[in-house]
Amino acid sequence: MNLVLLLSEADRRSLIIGLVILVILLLFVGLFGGLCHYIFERQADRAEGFIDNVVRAHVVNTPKELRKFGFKKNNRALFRDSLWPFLVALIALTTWIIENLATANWGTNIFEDFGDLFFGWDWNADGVIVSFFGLPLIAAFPPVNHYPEFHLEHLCHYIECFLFIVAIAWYAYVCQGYIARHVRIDSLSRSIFKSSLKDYKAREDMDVHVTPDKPLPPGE
Amino acid sequence: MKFLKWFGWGMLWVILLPFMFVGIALVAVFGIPVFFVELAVMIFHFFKGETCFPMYEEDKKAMEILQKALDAKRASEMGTPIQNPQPQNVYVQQNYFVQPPQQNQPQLPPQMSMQNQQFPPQNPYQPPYIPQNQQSIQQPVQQPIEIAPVEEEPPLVAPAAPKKPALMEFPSEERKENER
Repeated sequence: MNLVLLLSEADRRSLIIGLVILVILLLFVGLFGGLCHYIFERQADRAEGFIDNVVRAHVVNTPKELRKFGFKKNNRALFRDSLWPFLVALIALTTWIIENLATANWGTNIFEDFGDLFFGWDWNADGVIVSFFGLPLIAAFPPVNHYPEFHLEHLCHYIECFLFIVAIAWYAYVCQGYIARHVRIDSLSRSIFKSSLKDYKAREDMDVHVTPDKPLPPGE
Repeated sequence: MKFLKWFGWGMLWVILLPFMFVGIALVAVFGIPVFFVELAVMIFHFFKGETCFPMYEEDKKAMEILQKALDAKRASEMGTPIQNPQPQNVYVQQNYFVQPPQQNQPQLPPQMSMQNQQFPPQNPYQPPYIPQNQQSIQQPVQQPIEIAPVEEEPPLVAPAAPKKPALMEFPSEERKENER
């Protein structure tokens, strides 16, 4: 309580704004994490289809064989899934090469031109970043220094950037699926060949009827 | 509560996300050579005349084993192996018509052949009861066969040989006329 009283008005404002931004950020990260979790589960279920037949038919009988077979199938799945993102990236690359052959502008940063289509904020303006007990915190919303605008001469760059971003995001999704499948196959290889005596009762399994004349020996 | 749930998820994923991004980056780098190797294998299979993604040996073995198990299960459920259906003559004669005998009409088969058929009746009409004699088609009366007494056969006698014409009697009257 004393700490709050010691704060100045500007510090309190920055603290409240920082907390709100943190909560919103964590919410968005939580939503993104939920989406990732959903993708993980879906891809892991898909991996079970890869190894279902060989396990049921007892074609593979050891965890090592199962991991090896799962690795092969997973690699093929990675290839098949990444065909489309690679094709999109190839189209973008071809467009970029043709455009640069025509204009001879090999050194242009196409992602900088792509920023024309979005808002820009001045994060170095006064009062935006304040120091709170030595920590830099956002104290105010930064002023807008760039508004979206369309330049026809940058049309090729827009298309190329869009295609590259789509390909990268798609490929990241495919790689995430690969990780999920790999983890599930690895965990299954450990669990499905495991022998367990957890619920086994050796005395119940014996085909011997114990009579009062012949009691069971003591446990110890 | 949902707010708190997603907030908690956010706190968890703030810790997990860097590891996940590192993993994705590693797999992305690993996936590039895998892509080109698998592409080469796919092209090889394509020009070999096979499918681009042929089944692995383990999958083939598993399919064979499961197919055999499935066939065995079907055979045990059916009891007997499946036979080819044989053609059957079905005579639907539930209808009863009083029709005078006509000439040049095909004769219908007897109605007794329908006794063991399991077809539902096509017409609810019940034919009148026709008393049948004991001499039905199914139980014909067997007449005793009378055995005639065996008669003694006469002894076999060779037939007399035909009388050969005497050579001295030739030429006849016809030959004489031809010579002329």
